Amino acid sequence: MTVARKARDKTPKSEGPMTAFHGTDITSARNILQGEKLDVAKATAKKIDGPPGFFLATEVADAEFFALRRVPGGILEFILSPKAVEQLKSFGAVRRPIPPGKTARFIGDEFVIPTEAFECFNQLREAGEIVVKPH
Amino acid sequence: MLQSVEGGRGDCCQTPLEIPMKIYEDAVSYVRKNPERFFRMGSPDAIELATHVLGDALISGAKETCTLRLGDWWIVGGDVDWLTNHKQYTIHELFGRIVALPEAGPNSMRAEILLTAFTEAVITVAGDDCLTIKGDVPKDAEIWHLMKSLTPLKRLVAFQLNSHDALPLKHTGGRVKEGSKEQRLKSRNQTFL
Repeated sequence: MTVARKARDKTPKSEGPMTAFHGTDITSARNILQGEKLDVAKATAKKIDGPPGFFLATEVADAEFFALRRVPGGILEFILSPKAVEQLKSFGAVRRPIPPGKTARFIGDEFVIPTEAFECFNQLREAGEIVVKPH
Repeated sequence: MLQSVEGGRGDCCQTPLEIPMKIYEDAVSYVRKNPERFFRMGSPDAIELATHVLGDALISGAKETCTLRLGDWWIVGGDVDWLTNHKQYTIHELFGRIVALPEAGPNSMRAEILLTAFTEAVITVAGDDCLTIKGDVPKDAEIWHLMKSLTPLKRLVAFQLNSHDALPLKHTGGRVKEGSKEQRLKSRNQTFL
């Protein structure tokens, strides 16, 4: 067995799909559910704070907070294949703890999809690598 | 009044695709169920609540702020009316919603909803405009007079976290005697920034 092969054997097996949640207003949730693509101009116009992008929370209770910032709100569940996660990361997507704000703290991570990765996200969704359903 | 703030339970409706989708509306219940998200020790704390409110006033541009205690009342005041400088929401809406505070950075929120969720009573005064947000506070209660007397301040918000929160200045059978001039003077803790 080669050294390279031994090294590969020690690497963790590829992770399974990522399940994450997006909390937003109910109209936007319905539009996304019906297939609306991520759009840089809309994301920029609708952002409340922080940089524009598309944000997924690994914990549904965190997504609920963001849905309630835009009442009436809705929560979508996203299931991203390992391939989708990897490709999005290559376009700058990153998983990290949700930054605490003044007054509010969070328990989970966020998967931040920057505007540069929107086109990739849309293609992955069309290809079935990203599945969206209501929570 | 409180019911109008808290009204609106999560409901389900049909999307045009006939997929059931829950609507999230009741922010007060969410906050109440998740105190660990808003308090360092995981449970409501009067000092943290006052600090959150005071921070909102300062972020909104207040240069002079004031915190006072009158019995089990906590009072926060400022020289700007930080409740009406938000044109998007009425005062009652501010106390019933999670309202973002982008001036404080990403994921920040205003503190008013914490008062609605975790206190027994909340009132606010701006000049002669007196408003009860939550609880039953008699019109002749000492707290109103004190708040109105602080006229240089443009806005004051007062809350009672609970009955055992009273400042132990002058014990009368285990409880603070409220409303005395001595107590007001001793409990005053003004900060001028």
